[in-house]
Amino acid sequence: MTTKPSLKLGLFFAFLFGFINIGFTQSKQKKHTISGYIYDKNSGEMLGDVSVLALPDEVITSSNKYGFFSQTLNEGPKLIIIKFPGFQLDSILWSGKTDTAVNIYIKLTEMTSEFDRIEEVVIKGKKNTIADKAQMSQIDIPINQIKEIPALLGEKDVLKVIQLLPGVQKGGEGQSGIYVRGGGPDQNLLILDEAIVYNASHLFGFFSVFNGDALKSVELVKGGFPAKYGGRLSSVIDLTMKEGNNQRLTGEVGIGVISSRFTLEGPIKKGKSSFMISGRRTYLDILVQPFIMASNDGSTGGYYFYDFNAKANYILSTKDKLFISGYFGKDNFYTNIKEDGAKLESDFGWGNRTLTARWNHQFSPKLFSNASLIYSHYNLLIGVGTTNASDTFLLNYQSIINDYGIKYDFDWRPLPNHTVRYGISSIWHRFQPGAVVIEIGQESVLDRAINTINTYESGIYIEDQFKYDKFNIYPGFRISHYSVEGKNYIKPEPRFSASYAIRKDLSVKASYAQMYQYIHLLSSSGISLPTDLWVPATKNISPMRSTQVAAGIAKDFDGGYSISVEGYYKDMADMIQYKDGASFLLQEDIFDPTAPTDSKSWENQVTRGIGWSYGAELFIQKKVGRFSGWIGYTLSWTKLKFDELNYGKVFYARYDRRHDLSLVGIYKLAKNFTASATWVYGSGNAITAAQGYFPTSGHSMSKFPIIWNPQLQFGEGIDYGSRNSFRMEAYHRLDLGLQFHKKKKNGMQTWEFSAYNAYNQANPFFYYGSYENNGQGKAVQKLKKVTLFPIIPSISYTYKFN
Amino acid sequence: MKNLYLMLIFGLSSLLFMGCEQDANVVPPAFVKRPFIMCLMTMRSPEIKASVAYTKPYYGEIQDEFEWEEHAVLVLKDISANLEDTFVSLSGGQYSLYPVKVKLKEENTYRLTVYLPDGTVHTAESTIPPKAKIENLKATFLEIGKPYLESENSGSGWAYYLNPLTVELTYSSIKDGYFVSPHLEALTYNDSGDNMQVELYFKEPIKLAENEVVKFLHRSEFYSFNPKAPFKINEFFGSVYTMDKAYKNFYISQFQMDGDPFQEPTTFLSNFSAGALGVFGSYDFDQGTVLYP
Repeated sequence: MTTKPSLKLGLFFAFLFGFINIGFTQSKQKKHTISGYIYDKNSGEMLGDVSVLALPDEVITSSNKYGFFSQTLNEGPKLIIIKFPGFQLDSILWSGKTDTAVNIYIKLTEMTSEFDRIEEVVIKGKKNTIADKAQMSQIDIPINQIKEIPALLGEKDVLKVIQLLPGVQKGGEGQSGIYVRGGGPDQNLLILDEAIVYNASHLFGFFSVFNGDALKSVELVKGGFPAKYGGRLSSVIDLTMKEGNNQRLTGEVGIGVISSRFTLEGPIKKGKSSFMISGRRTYLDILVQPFIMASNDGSTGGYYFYDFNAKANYILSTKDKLFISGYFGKDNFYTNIKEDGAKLESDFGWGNRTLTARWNHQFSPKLFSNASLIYSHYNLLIGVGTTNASDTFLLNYQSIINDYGIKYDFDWRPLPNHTVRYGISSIWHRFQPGAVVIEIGQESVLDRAINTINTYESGIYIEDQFKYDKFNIYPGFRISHYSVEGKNYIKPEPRFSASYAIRKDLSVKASYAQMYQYIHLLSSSGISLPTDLWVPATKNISPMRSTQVAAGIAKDFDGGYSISVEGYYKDMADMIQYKDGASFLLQEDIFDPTAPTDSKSWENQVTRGIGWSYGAELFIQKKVGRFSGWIGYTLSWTKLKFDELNYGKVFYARYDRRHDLSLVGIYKLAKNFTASATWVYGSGNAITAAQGYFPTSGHSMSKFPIIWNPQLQFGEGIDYGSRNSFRMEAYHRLDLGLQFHKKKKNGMQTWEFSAYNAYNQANPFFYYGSYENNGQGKAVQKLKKVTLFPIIPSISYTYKFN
Repeated sequence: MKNLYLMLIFGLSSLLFMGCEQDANVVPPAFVKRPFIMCLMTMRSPEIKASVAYTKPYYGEIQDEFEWEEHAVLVLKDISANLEDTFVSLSGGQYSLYPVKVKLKEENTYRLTVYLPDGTVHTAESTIPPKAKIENLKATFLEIGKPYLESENSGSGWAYYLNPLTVELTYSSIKDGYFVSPHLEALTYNDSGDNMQVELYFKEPIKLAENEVVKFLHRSEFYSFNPKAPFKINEFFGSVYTMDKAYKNFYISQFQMDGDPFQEPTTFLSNFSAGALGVFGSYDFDQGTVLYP
């Protein structure tokens, strides 16, 4: 007998609210609420994820990402201890006689001494440790740690650091695309101050668009997703920009090998409002321009990227705050070649723009809200034009996404052990995928109108994070709605996480999450490029779905060590891939005069299938002390099945990786001297490689039929064997870094020396076949690999003034 | 100044390293020699032909010739009638059969069994499609839209126009499960004596019969120079094909392998068992004129 969906839903709600009720009816003793915001004393920035421990009640809560906290406690004096991860404790005394609103300013002092460790031990059972959190598969990455990890050409990169975490894999050499627990690069929700960032790559993925100088916090969620998140299957990377120092003007300038950057932040009105601006640009094109001009008769060409972050905030009152933030970034390859009177111009560019306006309002000591208006834009443009005396040819290929969104989130803390979050969100997506214009001479051979596909994606959610005895329970429910071309999809997305504390420093955890994704990224089975097309779910192409279950164990040790082991199983449905023989240029459609003149011709090039992934992850981390870092290891399998691919048989995903290991170490040798190293190892990617040739004897259907004859039309076809049945070589690399800090009159200077790929490993970027002569007059076909990066030393200089 | 020099040295050395893209040989996939068998049957021919060869390695020393198998035994069986005929081996891996016992009949299923000298046996099945009949193909909708100006040269007074054309073709009386593909052209003409030949392309050139009907839609535009003389069409000329699934798969895969560098790899859709590549399929065709209306 099967259970009806409505009955299942009812049982789930009964389960959810039954649990909530357990916590709500705990105690009849008189209670008071202490609530307010936690700020960094030095900069005035609001601090999220700060643990707030009330003694002697031993009740712990944490601030939300806007710094708001609220604790309702039994009447009586309390010691309120505040703890920001990686920094020393701070505390206040509270009489506990009345409801109290308070702004707490804490001084962030890094824990490095033995004394600090002792303090850690004293409250080890009550701090917000890995074993104490209900949520699993979630990692906060301290920005300071990101800045200490060595990076390619010294460019600090948030996504590159995320790639070093267990359960997260990188696509290939240098790429910033990430693959989380068997999901594709499109299955990650990257949000910067609430706005979706569609393409996080600079320089084809060698760097990400996120400038570490402009960021305040980075959080990765790869399973057991909170109900507030929706729209992607595999992970959430939630990035928050700095608000800006509202006490004094500070800043930072950095000069690197390929780019320079600056950040400036300060008060607009001291203590009331502040701003932050940060930008960077590469200058390779400017440096090499004179040489190109000199050697090529005025021809030019080059590449640059830039990005710019800005944020401002204003404290309207103790209960109201306004924020406005934006990101603008662009990559551009360009050439302008002149030869024999002919001119060839090309442009290959892509970029993101986001804008977010937010209003924080505190309705009561227990109820906080955040309303957001969000705009996000992504644009890819390929333009090629040739002109000579007799003819011109112009090809433009464009893909655009515009999002207009609204969100309203509430954070309600009714009782000591409950944090209830609920809210609504809605996004209007406007897609213009794959628009093409081809002109020859004066004629427009093809002008595929950029027909816009309008889609509407909404969500409503509720979740409660509460503690009951030794249980930490985090049930949630989200309902998503998606409307496209008159078709409506309404999908339930239940979520559940729980932990059970076996001891104060040891807990077991489990989670379940169902997710829907209403957008697909069409990628070629080769490397992932910016030419990959974002396309929406339509009435013909269903949204993707995943169901993930995970279980694990977490243990904290003295000295700031923690270990977690997690296992997961995720199944995915309604995934899409290009059909055999399809091309990202959708070539057949472009040159087929009967192709429909709309922007949905991609639908004919794709096929649907399912996938599943399972594996285990080990994460050993040390966050504090002179030596910090982590070991991350993932053992995983990812398989796909598409009726129209690989004879309908199961095949490994391109990003299936059996072993993935990262070692990260940061050692503070002296107060002004830090050494760091990372070593990564990953099993080879699965690719489809040619194995043999077979003789083809084609047959053509035409107006004038002929009978097939095997003796006619001999050619050669390629036998690829099974899809993704060949493995590239394993990847491994060691990076080293040294940072020297020197205090100056008005600030701090840092020299950084680093070596990327320190032992010069020739890692594969891609494979290709090549003909060579074997010296005896015979041609030999060889399989070759291209390696991009040998050892790359770099130097950068940063000056931080305050 | 000292710092600047230091930066310059490191910067230039990094750029030099960046330019050193390296290539190296790697071990290619192991080559597995596979038989390649082709046999396409049609009732339009009294002879059934087949070929048997082996794949040759993609990597390593280039082999100019394929290895053709001349000593295979190919047996064709009419499963419905339980009758068998054996092919005759010609030279160069080619085989021929003038069926004596086995007759090709519409909708009968046949099995081709290939016995190779190494003892391996490979089989595939094919069903003869219903006879293709041009009279089953009708133009069920035809519209030539109003011509509009596409381009003109004001100096010479030269201009040309585009005429939107929509045609729906319907092939009827075909059993479900078989595929149909029309290949037609139309002659358009007007009262001024202009004529224009239009090739009919279809978004889906091969379609599966459902409810004994298959419909094809053509949309295009053709050029003309006189907008005042409307064009007409009253007949189409060409052929129509019927086929089974194996032939359809073969036909699609051969055109997917066209060498576009951005193209996804194409799996050759074999219907032979035991690891052999190849196709055993059936097709039929008819040629003639389709009148409109």
